[in-house]
Amino acid sequence: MEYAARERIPVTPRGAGTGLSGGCVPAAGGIVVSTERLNRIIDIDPADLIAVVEPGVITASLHSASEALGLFYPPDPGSCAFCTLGGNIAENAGGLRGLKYGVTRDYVMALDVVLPDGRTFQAGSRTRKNVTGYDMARLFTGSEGTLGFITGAVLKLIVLPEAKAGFLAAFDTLEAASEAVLAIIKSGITPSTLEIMDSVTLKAVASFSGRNDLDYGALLLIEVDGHEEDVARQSGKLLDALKNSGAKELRQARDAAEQEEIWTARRSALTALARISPSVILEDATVPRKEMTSMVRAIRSVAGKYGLLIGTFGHAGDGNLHPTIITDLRIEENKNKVKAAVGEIFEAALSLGGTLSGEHGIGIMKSSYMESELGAAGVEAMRAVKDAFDPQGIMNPGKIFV
Amino acid sequence: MSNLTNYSDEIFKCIRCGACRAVCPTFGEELSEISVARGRMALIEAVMGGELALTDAFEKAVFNCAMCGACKAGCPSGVDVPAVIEAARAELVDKKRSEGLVRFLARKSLKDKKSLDRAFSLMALGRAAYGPLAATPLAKYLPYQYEDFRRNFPKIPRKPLSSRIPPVSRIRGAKGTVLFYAGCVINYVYPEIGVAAVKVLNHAGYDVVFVKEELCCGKPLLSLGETEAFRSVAEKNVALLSGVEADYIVSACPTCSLTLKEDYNTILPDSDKAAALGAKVRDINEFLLHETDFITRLDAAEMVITYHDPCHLAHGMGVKKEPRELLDAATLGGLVEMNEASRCCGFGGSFSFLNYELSGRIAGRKVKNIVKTGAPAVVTACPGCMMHLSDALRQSGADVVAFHTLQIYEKAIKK
Repeated sequence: MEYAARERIPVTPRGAGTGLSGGCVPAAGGIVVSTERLNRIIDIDPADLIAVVEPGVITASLHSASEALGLFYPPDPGSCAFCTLGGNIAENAGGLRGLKYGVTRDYVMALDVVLPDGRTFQAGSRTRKNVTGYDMARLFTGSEGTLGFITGAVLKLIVLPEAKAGFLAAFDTLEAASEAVLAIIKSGITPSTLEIMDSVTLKAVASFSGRNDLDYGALLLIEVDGHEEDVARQSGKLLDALKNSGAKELRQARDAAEQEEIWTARRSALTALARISPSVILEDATVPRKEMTSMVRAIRSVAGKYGLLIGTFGHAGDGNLHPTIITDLRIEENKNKVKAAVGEIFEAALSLGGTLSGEHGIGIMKSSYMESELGAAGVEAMRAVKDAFDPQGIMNPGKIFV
Repeated sequence: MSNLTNYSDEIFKCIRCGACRAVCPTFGEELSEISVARGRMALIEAVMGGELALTDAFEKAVFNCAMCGACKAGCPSGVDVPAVIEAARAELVDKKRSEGLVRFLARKSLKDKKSLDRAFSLMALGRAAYGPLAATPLAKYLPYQYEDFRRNFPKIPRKPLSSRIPPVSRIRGAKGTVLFYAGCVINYVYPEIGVAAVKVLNHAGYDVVFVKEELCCGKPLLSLGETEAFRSVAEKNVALLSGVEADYIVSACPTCSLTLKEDYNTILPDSDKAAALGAKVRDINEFLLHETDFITRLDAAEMVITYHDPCHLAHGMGVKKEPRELLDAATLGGLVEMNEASRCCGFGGSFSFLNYELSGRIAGRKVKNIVKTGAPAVVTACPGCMMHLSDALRQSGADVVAFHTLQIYEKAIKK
């Protein structure tokens, strides 16, 4: 970094290159620094309940290493089998367990940071409580590599829940499914995952995997976890809430194999959609939970308006939807349609009190929409933070800000 | 398989998600984007778009792929990566005139039966002489310098399978006839597996026909980008095997099965015979479980084993359950799963000759997973994997023996 600062060469940090907003693309050229080989889990401490890691560790490796010790690192972005923790931290990645367990930022305790001028410091500490000045670990989490380079992290772990139960509930309409989501939350339980799939997605999955049991308006996939007795209690409440919300079909997994079967449908959602046409644009506009129905309606009307195929699935529990546009971008006309459709989806999310991005980040994909969410003052404030750390503008230029 | 431009749609399907990184054996060792499907697709696309020339570095990136197909099996967009890589290799042969010892030998020796016989006799001699020679100052004149003299090739027996079994092995009251296609490794290196196959198939109630004149399936040629040589072998095999009356064509080498089943169709799209042949092809494990009641005819004995999925069987043909079910029955529940059972062993045919060092590192990871199970035997359904695993296990000093599934089934046949 010292060299880059002296020579004013742009530096772009890169993990596995699996992000969905272009964070690791060297937009202004310069040096790409890969964390690929900084891939050691240095320590998992069952007393302090922390993991000390290098940024290139694959997220799923931390999952299996901590679970082997009865510990749990909850953030599980869809790409956890091949993305890195450093990238997760830089993008503040979410995942399926966000509703109950939060996102990456909720597990970052400390970061080793290299500043754009080459000096280093540790932001945060190994302690749960730390109010020594600004919360710099949080500031760097989700900074998309624009403030400095993350070379190490102390991550919070929790105790692995001893039991879990999986459910599938089918509904005639997406509206009914969305209402059921609210009913579940109001019943006083917090599922560890609460996923939704719309009819477009279900049709794609059905034809992809040759299933004939997915002909519904929408599907909810739910998992609750905790102590044995607690899981039983939650399951009871959940089943009541689903029945009262008019679920057409209700299935509880009796064993691990059935649990797996339930989740196969959700896991193959993106695959199934991707097989329809060669280009896939996966968005992550997010709205408050109770606005989800309105958001889904807005997405549908955008799809109709531009004649685009949009499958919607996602983390219903936290209003984080993934409208997925299936098209062929080799056709020029489609490019314009997609651009306009994405703009209108963002507009709808913002008008419902939501945000441009729930978990993918801004990167180069959404930077032009920043002001519509933050206003000029908001963008300027963020810009000031950026300039304070990186006056030369060499850290991942072209990201977040236009 | 031929013109690279035919694959532009296939490459465009790659959305660069990176899912292949989790399963790619070469990436697992190299941790470099040019050693994984996503990077290779990007490079090939750049060559097609004229942004990149057919450089030596490009050639290396395209040839250090083991062609295991794990990326294709796990690809959200279903990109047929091995087909694209084969096409890129063919392009290199075509336009860059790539040549090398492995390629030269493959072309010369796999083209007909006589050359094949001669090549393996020479190999038997070479194998006997190689070790002693490698210890002398003459070592520097030996081919495969880069192979590392530690590599353990199995001894090549004097009598290949074709001189050990009759053209037809009949039983009383047979339910049908299968054509057993041995392939080179079983025919010349492990004829005992072929002998076991005939016994097992007879025991399962089928007459077995064996065509002595069978040629190499040609996969090494296809993998090396030698399209024309492959086409010629495919034509000869199709003519030869189609002439035999059999209900099924069964092979104990998944690479051969996959080639007969799919690649002959692709290279000979207008041949009805190739299509009919492909439709009859079964891996021997799937055949035994689905088409016969072999599993009920076992006289099983307790034995602890672990199972390694051959890439072309698991990723190429989707056959994972069948060998496990049969093995578990044949060992009275003795099957212990290893971690990453379906991760490549590093063999990859010509890959291991061109990239022995990398291939050895991939095998090292496999050996660790095998040893961790504590099983004294690793069983696999491919003679190539068996050869490579035996080499790696021996070099690591692990006290584990590699077997083919047929050798386990043979032991469990009621006397």
